Amino acid sequence: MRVWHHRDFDGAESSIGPYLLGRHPSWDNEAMRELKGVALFVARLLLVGVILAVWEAAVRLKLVDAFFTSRPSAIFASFAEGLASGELLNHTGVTGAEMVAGWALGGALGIATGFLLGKFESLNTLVDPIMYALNGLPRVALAPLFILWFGIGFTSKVAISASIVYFVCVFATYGGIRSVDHALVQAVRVLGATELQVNRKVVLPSCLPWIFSGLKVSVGMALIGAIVGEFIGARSGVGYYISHSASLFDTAGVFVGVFLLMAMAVALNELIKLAERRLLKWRPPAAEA
Amino acid sequence: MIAIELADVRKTFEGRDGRQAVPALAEVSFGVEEGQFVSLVGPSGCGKSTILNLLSGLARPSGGKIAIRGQPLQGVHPDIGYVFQRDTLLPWRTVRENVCLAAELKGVPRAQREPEAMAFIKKVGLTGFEHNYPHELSGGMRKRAELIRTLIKRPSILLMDEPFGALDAQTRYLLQEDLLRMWREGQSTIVFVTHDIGEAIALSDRVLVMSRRPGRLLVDVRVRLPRPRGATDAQSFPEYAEHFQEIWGVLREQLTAL
Repeated sequence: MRVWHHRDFDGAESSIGPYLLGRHPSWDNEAMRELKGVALFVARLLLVGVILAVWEAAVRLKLVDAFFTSRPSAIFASFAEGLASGELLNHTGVTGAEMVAGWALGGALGIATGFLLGKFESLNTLVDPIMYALNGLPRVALAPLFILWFGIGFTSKVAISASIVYFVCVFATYGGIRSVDHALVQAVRVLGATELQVNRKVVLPSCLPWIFSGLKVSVGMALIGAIVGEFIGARSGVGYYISHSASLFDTAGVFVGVFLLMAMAVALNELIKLAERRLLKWRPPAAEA
Repeated sequence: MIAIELADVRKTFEGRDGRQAVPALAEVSFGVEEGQFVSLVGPSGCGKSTILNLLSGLARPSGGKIAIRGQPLQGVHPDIGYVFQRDTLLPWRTVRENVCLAAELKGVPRAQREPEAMAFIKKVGLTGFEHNYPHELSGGMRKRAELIRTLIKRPSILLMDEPFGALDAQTRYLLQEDLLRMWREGQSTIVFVTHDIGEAIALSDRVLVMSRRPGRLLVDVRVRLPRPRGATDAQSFPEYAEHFQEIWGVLREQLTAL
């Protein structure tokens, strides 16, 4: 993650740097920064290592009960076993697919709705309180209903995920449309743009940062939606794996599931950051953070 | 030939949410001849920008008539360019993509629009910055890019709303030179809004002085300085000081009389 940021920043700097700063960023500086990045990474690894070591030691010294906390080595063993049997990969795939499908569906519908509400003020006035009320409704409470409607398979999890993601994206997109700089719209209109072109060339691109922030926030929510669905009724998925392990008092298994979820969330976040950097590379570095 | 004609043009901004309606322009009439460079000066809020907005077709007058070459103005006119006071380059497009915008909107294929864009970029000394985003440029460079984004359309009428207001004095001189040069080459008609009396005299054939809000036309000063002239030559003529005094006299009265 650090490396990406640096490379991106250097790229911007080296293209204009010679003109604006009158010098090229020196190699010393770059090497120094690289080194600092590596040192930071090593320090973080050490920190995690220490925490895991303390955990392991505490269990081995019988300071805490392994029944409740398991221990890193047991968790790793359980992970290796699950990986070897292909079981974990299967669960991860199921949850991942539910989550991505829910996220994409909710995102697409949400962006479209947000766009319509932003463009047609009267429509927004009509549905605004209803949208807020629906968004305020805890979707977790609806999960049993979704299971009832769509069964215990894939569809119900997608529905739960999408129902959460949808509203986040509606509000983000709507906010983006409301904040479009009117001067840009006018300038492009004078250059001869039709209404459709104004939407495509000005409104949509200037909403992108908003849409992205909506999509970014809702990745985690999509995962929660899928997991909640799996907790309530499922035959596969990481959520199912966790609740199943818990019912067998297999604490190590529970932790394997939890860490797996964590890894999925981190991986997705990195993917989105990457996409965001590519699509929003026009923004000044300060606004990017 | 008359390029632009305004007859008793009025503009009132309707008060929303129970606020009072604001009269911005009170019966303004003037004509601009083909190829003329006309400046509008006046106290802030006097409706200078409103006149440009009306001429651009982005806003409609509350009363009166606007004609472009004898034809009543309806909506945005393809032959009119408008350079705004604020930066209006699209921040997510590079200089080149911004300059290409007008051609792109018209559906000109990429291969055809690029060479001309590059020629214009070269003309204002932005070569080497084609692929930079607006935020990576200085204020003067952004304004240049904006200028050619409009000029590449070759509008026969160019509206400019304090285009150089936000620039430092030296950069402003350079851009004024650029503008005068391109105006001479392009034979366009220019309506230029500014609050800088010196700038108005230096650039224009005529300076129209407006009253406080609601704006009316007070005097129409014909600038008696020889052409061609550069942006900074004007001050060396004795007429410059006379014009300055005349315009400032009228403006001062408007600004101080309450």
